[in-house]
Amino acid sequence: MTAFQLDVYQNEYLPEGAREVNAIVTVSATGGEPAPATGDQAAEVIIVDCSGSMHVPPTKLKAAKAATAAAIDTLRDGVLFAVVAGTDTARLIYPTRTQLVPATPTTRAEAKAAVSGLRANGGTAIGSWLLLADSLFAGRPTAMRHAILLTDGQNMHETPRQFARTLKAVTGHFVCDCRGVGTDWEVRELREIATALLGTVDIVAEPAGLEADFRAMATAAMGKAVADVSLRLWTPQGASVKFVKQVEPTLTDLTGRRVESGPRSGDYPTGSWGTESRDYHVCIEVNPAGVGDKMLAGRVSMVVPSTNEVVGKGQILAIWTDDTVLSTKISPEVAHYTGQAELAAVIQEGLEARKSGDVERATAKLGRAVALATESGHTDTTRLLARVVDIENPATGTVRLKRNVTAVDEMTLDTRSTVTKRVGKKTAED
Amino acid sequence: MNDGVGDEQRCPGCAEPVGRADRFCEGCGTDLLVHRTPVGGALGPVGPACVACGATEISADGFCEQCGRSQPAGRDRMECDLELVAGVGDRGLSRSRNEDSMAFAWVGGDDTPRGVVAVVCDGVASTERADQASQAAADSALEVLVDAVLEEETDPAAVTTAAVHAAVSTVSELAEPDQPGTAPSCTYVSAVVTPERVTVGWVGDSRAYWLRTDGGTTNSRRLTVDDTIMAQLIDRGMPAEEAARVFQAHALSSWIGADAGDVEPHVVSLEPDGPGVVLLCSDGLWNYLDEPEELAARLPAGSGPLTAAAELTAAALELGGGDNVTVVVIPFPPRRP
Repeated sequence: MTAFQLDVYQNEYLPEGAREVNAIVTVSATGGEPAPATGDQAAEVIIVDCSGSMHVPPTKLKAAKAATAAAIDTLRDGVLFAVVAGTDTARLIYPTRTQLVPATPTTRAEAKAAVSGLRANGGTAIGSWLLLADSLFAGRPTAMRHAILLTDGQNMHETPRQFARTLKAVTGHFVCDCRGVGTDWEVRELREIATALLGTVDIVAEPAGLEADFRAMATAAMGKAVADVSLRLWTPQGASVKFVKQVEPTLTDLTGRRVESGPRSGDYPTGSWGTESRDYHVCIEVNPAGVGDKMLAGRVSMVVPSTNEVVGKGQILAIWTDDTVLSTKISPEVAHYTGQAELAAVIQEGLEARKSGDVERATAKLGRAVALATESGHTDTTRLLARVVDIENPATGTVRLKRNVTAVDEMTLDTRSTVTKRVGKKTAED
Repeated sequence: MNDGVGDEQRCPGCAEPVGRADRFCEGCGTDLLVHRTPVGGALGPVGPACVACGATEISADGFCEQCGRSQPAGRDRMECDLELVAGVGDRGLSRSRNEDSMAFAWVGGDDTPRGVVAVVCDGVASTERADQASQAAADSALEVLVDAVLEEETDPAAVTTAAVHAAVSTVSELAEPDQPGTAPSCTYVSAVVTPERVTVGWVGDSRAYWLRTDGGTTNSRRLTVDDTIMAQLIDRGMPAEEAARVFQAHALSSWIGADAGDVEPHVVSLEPDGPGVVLLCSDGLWNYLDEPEELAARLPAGSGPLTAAAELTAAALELGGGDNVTVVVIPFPPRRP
């Protein structure tokens, strides 16, 4: 059974009259055995874009096929799976009847044979692909349900409204990691899917990189031990939750995902968990009490719905003080992730401004991004930023926009803007 | 000794007749010779309803399930009156918990008590579980002091030192072996008051005062010198303003805790030749009321030690209450009212 440990990092001391309480909650899951192979407790659907553009260049479809085969090989015996080809409709490639089949040497070979025969022809209607995956998963509501979605183009063959409706309908039914290959797809679209379905989004610029990436995603999915875990937050009467965000390993705003779970208590979905740790930033507004008073501003726990078990417990506190030495101390964890959230926002705003030709705004936003990335030691992001701007002074964020920026560099920066860097936790020497 | 019928003693617990020399009551087991504060502290009452909103559902960790407000702990206000000695402890107005502790007792089964002993400890706020540390220190030191008076030990200075050693070993056991930096720690001040003598021992900046009362001749004075860098410099002759400017002037130079090792207390004694009051207090009082004459002037005339302790505590709260306040008052000479 998976055990969850919650650690709360905050400065609980507030100046007189202050209302806002911030805390970083680190959730660590340990001890969970990956779902047993014979228990068909894991289900995987691989969705491959087979629109006409996958032929351009032809290496794209070839690489997608090899990647899908690699993912199939990664599935443990007994894991239920299916492969979907996506065009302006969704077509089940393997198996032939609308159901999931257990992975065996035979079914894996059959599936790979079916995949090798894929042709690229048609349009792109991602909503319909998700609906087919959803109906495949529907018979297995208690299993760990994971999908891999690969596309190379924009969602052209359904209206944004249609798509939004579909996305809403399937939200919470399975976790979906999204990959865009090439540079003709829309970062915003895939991010929307990944955010709703609690998965990751990334760019695979070169088709050759797909195989390793698919294998890594399937391996990670196989490592999950418990599905549909929620973060439960209790807040006192009169308090309101300003936001709940996952801030590590990636940035995901969960605020709007709250499901009421009791008096003054709500659940936020976090998807499936293996042996891993994630950080959440919780911001609560409370009615201030008097100096010297102490309040429980929030109680955090994790809920496993299959057993209805509440595991792990963390307290978010507020203590009002007139001692400014205490109340002005900034929690390094809160500061770090506040910075990481700002970093993601300024990158996206900066790229948006750049696209619309607002040089001044783009320079200011991307300059701020460089300063934040430098300050937090986020070298990966600094490197990506350096392909879009010329950095004169990394510490102050003095930059100039580069004249020529490749689509790959721009999209990579955009896609990875939500990948955060873990806060430097205190070590024993501190 | 006169064992006549008119002098018959009865157990205060069950009213059974008891012998004058008995340590315990045969009937109910009450200790007839030692009258002390409860182990774990003289905790105040805690109500069933939330202090902020009146809701009655209080979680196990001490918060209101309705409004989230932390409920007062028994430590927030501690009071105990043993007639020959009394004490008041208060969380104060700014701190979220009371990390001061007190323990006191008097020993004797008849009208002439053999002695009164008291301990005040102030948990060091920068350490974990400072509240536990200070109460454990006070309780274990008190036990040593009580036993010594019971056994009529003749060297109160040696007894005081032994009590500090007991406190050190108790507090050291509370430390987490892997977190030496956050080892719980506290200050210490104790008094052993017999009809002849007052013996005071201390580590840190909790204080003892001698306060003259009506008819007394021994002048009011501070009996302790704080274990702070500033106090020690002043004691060696540096002008107060100059000492106050020294780096970390108010930092403790000595304390009780796993990270402090086996400290030796300072011990002083006084043989007053008239009535007065021995006052033990944490810095929550003396930060506001420092001068012995000033403290003596605030003692309410003709009332018992509890009233005196409560009034001094109230004065500290009125003047700011920025820290936990603990005041223990022992009238001298020890005598049943």
